[in-house]
Amino acid sequence: MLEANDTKINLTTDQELHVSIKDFVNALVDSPQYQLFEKTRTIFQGDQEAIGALREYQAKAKDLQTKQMFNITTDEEKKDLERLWIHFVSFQSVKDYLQAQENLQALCRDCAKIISDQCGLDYATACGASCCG
Amino acid sequence: MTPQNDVLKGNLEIAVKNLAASIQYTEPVNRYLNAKEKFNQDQTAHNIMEELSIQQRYIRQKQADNSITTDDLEKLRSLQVKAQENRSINTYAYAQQEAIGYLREINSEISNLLGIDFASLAKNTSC
Repeated sequence: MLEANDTKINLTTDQELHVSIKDFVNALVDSPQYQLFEKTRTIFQGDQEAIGALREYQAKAKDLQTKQMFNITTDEEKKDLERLWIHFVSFQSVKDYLQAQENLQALCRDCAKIISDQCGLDYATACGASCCG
Repeated sequence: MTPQNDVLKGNLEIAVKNLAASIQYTEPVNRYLNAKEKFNQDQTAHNIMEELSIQQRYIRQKQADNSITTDDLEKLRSLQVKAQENRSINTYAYAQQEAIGYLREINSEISNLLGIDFASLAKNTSC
């Protein structure tokens, strides 16, 4: 441990920090939330019908991107896009994957909150993740 | 935040608390926390920042009807200089940027090990 001259406290060494990071990542990967996320992701990635529905939705969304920027999308186009999204999320593999992702996000938010409270900075914001991004 | 007892438990709870403590006592974050404390105790620094914030808001409002005067801008510049010259503000701002840069490095290391961007997973989903 290094000793800070002004405050006489023990500062974390790089090695100690790397160990803490590894322990944290290992514990996160071992959590039921992460395990379920991985499992549902693999199932989703193997569901060709669901992947096809996602591609269809993404293609339509891309087509409408410019029109949406200028707010000139027609009601019919909006409905069409919504229909493709509803079709995509109707697959069981997608539902399971999204639910698992939500649970993992909640877990990560709790972890980040502990880090934020201790270091006086909002972790996710400091690391460039915006709430709308 | 979800109730921690429901989600965070066992090894993960211990590991994240250890990590948080490790981060708190890294040189950049510790320096930032000290600078923040000094800034919080410096009334002059607070007054400058308060005045600067009021002037910025005032100018933004005047921008809407295109009525900003040279005096308005001069006052803003003068407050900006005052802020730059104040040691508490200066040290705090610099230490904050250093700490943010360091947290980003830590996040990169976590994300590389995890295979997903941890900060993106941890962001709030609503504004």
